Amino acid sequence: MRYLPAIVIGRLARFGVRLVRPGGGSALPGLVLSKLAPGILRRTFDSFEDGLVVITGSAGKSTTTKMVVAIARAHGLTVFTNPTTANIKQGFYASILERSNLLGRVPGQVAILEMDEGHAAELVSEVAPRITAIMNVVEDQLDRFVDPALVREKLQVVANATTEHLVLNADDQNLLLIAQSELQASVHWFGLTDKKAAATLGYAPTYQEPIPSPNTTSTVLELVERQVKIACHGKMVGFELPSRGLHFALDAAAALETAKQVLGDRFNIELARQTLADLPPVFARGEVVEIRGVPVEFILVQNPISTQLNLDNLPKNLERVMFAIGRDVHDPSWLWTVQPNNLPIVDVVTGYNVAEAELWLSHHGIFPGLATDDLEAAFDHWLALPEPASSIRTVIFSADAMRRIRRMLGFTSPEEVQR
Amino acid sequence: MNQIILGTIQAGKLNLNGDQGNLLALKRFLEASGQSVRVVPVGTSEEALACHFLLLGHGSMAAMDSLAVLLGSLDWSAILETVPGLSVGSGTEWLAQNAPGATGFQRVERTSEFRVANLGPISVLGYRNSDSTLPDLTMSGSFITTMLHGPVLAKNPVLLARAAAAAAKRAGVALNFKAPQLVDWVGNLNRISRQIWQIEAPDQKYPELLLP
Repeated sequence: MRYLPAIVIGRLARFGVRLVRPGGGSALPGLVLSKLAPGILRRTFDSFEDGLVVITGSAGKSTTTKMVVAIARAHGLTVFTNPTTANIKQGFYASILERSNLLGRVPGQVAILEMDEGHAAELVSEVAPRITAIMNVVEDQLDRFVDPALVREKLQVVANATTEHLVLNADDQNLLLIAQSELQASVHWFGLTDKKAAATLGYAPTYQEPIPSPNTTSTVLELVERQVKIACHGKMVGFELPSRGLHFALDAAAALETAKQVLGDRFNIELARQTLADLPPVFARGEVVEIRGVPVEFILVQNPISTQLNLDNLPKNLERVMFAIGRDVHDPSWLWTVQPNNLPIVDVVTGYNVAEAELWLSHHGIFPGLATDDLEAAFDHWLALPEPASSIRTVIFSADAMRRIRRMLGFTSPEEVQR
Repeated sequence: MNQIILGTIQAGKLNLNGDQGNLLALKRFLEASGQSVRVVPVGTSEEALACHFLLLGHGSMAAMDSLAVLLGSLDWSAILETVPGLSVGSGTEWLAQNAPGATGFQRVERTSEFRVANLGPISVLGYRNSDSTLPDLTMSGSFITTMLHGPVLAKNPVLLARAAAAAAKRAGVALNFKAPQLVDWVGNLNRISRQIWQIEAPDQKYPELLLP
């Protein structure tokens, strides 16, 4: 009963926010609950029979979490998880508010949570994860994290706190360094067979003598277009990925390995394969949506390496591109680490950081037809441009620009994604 | 025609915040003025001294550790005295600790924000993410040393023109400020940079680059 008033007030706050901003606003209700009932987080995380599973690291958390959750649910587990947009402390409170009953009880056998790499260390000090998957360390949000070595230190705390299983990327030297410390959890590795390809995934260099890559139990064997072949604990599975790119294949290997550790003997590789084959993309990771009768692909870019990889993976002969960089990019300097060689054209550039994006693009010889900070005007102008001859329209955007565009288009649920 | 040589030290390691973009900005500006420009990697004092402009960018802690021997092997006394250049972030910190006559600095509470700094009469906008006591922007011999990371030259056309003039002078060439391409390019830079200043430093007047 002690959480009842806090839950009611939090839900009223959520209702109020959603009246003003349909589809948005998990931060304020989460903040309200965290102030009124700080202990509810620990109690909730502690309440799941199969424990807490954390998926963290710099890049790939959202896709991997969605995959692991889908596999666990396909195996009959009831899962508590957080939406992609709520992976920091307030977001967890917001997720509890969303899923709990009035007494603050959240149903589920297991919690599988995506956690921001900056917040995970603090959160695991409250409840130790049973299983943690760490995707990688890349140069990301340096205005916040300062240096990749400091991110590695935070992830080391998470690894140290994990009680049973640690799932790590064998191709990232940062994670090999983490595994060299004394850990209470047993370590399981995922990775690529093609080490040359692994080197293109942009893990933050440690500039130390390379640690030999360990044997992996979930391994990407081959990727042709979206068709991937993965060996998982001695069995090979093949399926079509929900999104383009080698990093998504690696996310799938991480998801299979993590799901195997979550489910133990209950893990059915064929069921896992089928689940991944049927999975829609995480929103804005290769999502194609019909807008006013026109198909549009949405691509989210969040840091230098995800921008570089997504640009490198763009289809040939791309036309009708809109590029939007929002307020979430506090210091857009990192754009200058990205080579937009595979970006033949940008019709419209927009978002809060429109000028920063235009400055970067123009230095690479790309001169947008329209540059405006008015997202709505930009989108309308872009959608009214003549039909592309050989590709679909493509929006490349940062998280803030994505949220604003989705809201503008009336997509109020982050889970509503088409394949 | 003399080619202008822009040198960079370990571009792959010292580009954490897009600092190599400064050379791209300089190259575009000089090319628009009709100059032939080449960007070269620099690993020795001889190579550094052969440059008309030299960049020492900003790297991660691991990168800076790995470069200690290389950076320590360079004749910074001669380089700072004769080669116009730009050092950024951890590059500036390294010089402040290791260059001849260096006085070091202290660690204080970190600031992570856009700032406007002044270099004589030149106002410069950039992003500071540092816990050092080093100033945002100053001169060390012929080097502009800054803690404002990223493409600071691109966002500040007046500082860019000053760097370009210094490189041209060392190369023994005269910039053609009447070149139509340069006039267009500077117009483009002023238009975009003014917008960045309006967002990040709304109470400051944008210092427009006026070509002579």
